[in-house]
Amino acid sequence: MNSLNSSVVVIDNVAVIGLQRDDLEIANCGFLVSKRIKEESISKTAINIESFEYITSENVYALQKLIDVLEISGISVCVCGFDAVSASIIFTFVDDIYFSTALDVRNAILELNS
Amino acid sequence: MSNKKTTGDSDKTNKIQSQQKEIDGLYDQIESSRFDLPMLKIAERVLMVPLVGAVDSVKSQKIMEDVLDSIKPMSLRVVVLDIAGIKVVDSAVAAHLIKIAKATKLMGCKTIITGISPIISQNIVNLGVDVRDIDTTSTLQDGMQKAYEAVGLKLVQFNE
Repeated sequence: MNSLNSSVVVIDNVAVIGLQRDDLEIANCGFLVSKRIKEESISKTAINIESFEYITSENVYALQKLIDVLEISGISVCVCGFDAVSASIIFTFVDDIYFSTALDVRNAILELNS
Repeated sequence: MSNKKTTGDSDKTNKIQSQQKEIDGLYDQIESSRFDLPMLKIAERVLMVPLVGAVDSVKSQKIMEDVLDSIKPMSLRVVVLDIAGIKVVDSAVAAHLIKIAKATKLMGCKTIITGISPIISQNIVNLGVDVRDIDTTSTLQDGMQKAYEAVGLKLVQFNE
């Protein structure tokens, strides 16, 4: 079993995950993240992808898979940290995105706690 | 000998002139494709962008880039795109508008498309463009009201 490189910090009852690209490539990434969040007894998580220099369609599919796993486990998710360049090109490769998004960690926490 | 030289010079001059003409044409093309997009901050975290004239793929890409670049520095929550000034909304323009709305949503910002005339709405439906996830209003006034509500503001009329 692999371990995660991503950081997990709890702010205002929300687990903020500083997601690393390598973690998305781990087959059981969803399970590992879900387990890590459950350890904190928290049901809300903000996934921050700010560290991604660029985002590929594979990253988006992997992210969607991770979010599906978390939501099945009863964890509300909000993804934040998309930059203008990624946002402008991503819909050339991906039809649609089915997860909640926010500008930054602060807004993601506000969204999850509203 | 002298005649030959004169002919050679004239050829060179003609070539330079034609190249200069070509360069000027390219400059004109660049200038015509460049335009200033009015970005109106009408309230805290609300941006209004009136679109006028013809929207092609170059222009729509510029609109998307300008709007997305403004989201982070202005902490925008709502972008109002007023398309009342666009004469023709074909499938390409509709697809571009939807792409802009999706991209802004990715950055946590809601897009409201206003100024949709009956003929434009008929066109959008006929083209089979799915706009269910996008906020649309027929007038800019309704759009502004929605935008204000989204950021927790309300338009109130004061009685004199």
